[in-house]
Amino acid sequence: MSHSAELKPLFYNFAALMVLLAITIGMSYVDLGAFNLFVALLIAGIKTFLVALIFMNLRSTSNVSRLAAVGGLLWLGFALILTAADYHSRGWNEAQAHDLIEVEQARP
Amino acid sequence: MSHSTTIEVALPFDDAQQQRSAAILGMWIFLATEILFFGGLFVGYAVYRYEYFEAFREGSHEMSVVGGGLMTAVLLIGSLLVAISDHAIEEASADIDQRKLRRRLGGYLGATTLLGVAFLSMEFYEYYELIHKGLFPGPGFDASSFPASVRDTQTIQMYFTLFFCMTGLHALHMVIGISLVGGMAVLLSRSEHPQRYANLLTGIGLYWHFVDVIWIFLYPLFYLVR
Repeated sequence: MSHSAELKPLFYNFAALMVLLAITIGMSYVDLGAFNLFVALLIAGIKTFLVALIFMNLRSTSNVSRLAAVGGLLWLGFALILTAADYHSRGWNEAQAHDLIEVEQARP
Repeated sequence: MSHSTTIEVALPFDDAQQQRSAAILGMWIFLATEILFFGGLFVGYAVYRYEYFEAFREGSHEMSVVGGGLMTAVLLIGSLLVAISDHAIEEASADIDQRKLRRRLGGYLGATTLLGVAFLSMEFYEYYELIHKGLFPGPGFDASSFPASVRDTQTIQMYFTLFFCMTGLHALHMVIGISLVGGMAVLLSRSEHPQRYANLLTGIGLYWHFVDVIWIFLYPLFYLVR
């Protein structure tokens, strides 16, 4: 019965996803400070990888389809990283401008 | 391919295999645009979480961790059933008992549809409870149960605004997903040759898994940030 043998990865994948779900629920009760979200997102990332690879069949699809899948994530990455860079760096330039004003005012 | 005789190949394609991979590529390109559609909200979430860290921590105390986990499990069972259906329709040879195949596909996809409805019922019940507690953002928002740091600044409303927007957009996708999978359950259980719709089922399956993946991220972002 090669038919049922090929079904096995789907069930293994489902079992792995359920274990990861249990881990992520359990970890939320352990206080790790800022690491809680990091761990939760890491587990979500692994789950996504498993769903995409096995359920969405990225393991045996054409390379160009894989490229489309990665492309979406790449552009989402651009949006997140550039926005984070913007918010993180706000105020840097203002502080310098402020210093300059102080220097100007300090002059007799 | 023994069942290639039952699949009509459209004009632009050389063979059924090429047609299939084109259908899958098209769906993946659509899903990439969907990632960016949700992406705007995820970026908004990242910004507000960075700015109002405390509000997100307090807000997530209102969510049921176990309830959300159960909703995740319901979606994952649905994904498993869709993947099994997709496997069944692809692997079935032409001489297989069509009646049996029809019944199996109808059963799996019908069960997935019910699981989707169960997910939405749980989600809308949660909305009902939150709205009842006065936690729907707007003029009627009742922040009295929260600590002063997030109550007086009203930053707590931002958590609930993002919660309702992001899970609401996901719920809209669930409604579409439920309609598509339910439609496939009816179509395939009545079809003389279900295998004719293999590419359609694969595409709809990809959509279902994608909606599942969005929830896999929404769950930690809103329920597990305590």
